[in-house]
Amino acid sequence: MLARFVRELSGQAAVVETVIMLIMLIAFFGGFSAYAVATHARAVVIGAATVAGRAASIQCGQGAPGWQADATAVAEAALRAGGLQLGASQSGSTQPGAWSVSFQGSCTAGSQVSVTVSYNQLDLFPFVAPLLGQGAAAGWSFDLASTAVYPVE
Amino acid sequence: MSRGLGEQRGQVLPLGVIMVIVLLLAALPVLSAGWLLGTRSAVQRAADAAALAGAGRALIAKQVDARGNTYCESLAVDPVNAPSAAAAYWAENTAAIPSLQTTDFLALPAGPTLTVQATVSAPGGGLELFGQGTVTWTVTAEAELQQPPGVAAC
Repeated sequence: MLARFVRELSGQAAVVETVIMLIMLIAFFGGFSAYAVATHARAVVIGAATVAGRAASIQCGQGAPGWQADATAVAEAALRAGGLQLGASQSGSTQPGAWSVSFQGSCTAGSQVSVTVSYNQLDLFPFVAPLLGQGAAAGWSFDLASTAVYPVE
Repeated sequence: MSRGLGEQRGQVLPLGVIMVIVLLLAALPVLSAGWLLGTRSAVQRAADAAALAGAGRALIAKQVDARGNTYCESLAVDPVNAPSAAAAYWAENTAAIPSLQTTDFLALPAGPTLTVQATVSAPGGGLELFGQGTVTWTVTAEAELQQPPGVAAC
């Protein structure tokens, strides 16, 4: 009787330990995957800001009408090409997938144009945003932003 | 037999914890590499913008004929103003990159060409979480002034 009880208890402990270990492993791989996805999104946002900034600096200097819309389209194409799931183009949104492009500077010769591309990344693990240098995540997502400053040509 | 099985209690959890720690240590360099790849492209962008800005400071020497018509131009990057312009754009573009340190920055004008070379360092290598590990690399960018169409080079 006692031997049987000890045997059952022993089996239950193993199950409990296995469950704890599985939870740890799932959390580990989930966090690893979340970080990898966020790192990829960061690289895509940096690339989008680069090409959009270059497009803006050239078209702005040439006096092309609608250069901001063109640069925004370039950024959107780069974000889509990077495989990001884009939501609405909305500045300041905390909705995952929301993105925006903002401009600063003037189009006069010798001045500079600054283009900031922002993308709201889904984040289920609170440590991902600080590791990427983005501060603490607000809720279940955080903003990935990159700014490119180019001379007006 | 039952005693033997009973002695196996408590083996899974310690082994699991050790395994997770080993996995985490193995994953750190990979995580670090991902972060560094994005940082490298941002740094390259800063160098490109610096080279473009510096090359925009041009000195133009024109040769004119007796009627005052320009028949040739020689272009050169301004050796005085170009390096400072390049440095300003470099600083603006790298300001938002977290934990990046510029250890060396050079803007070298040579005729119509400006070469920007910078050495930077950032936390990396997988040990940054422990306050150790720095990756250093050099980035180079070059911009060249283009002769305007229809104007010969002197």
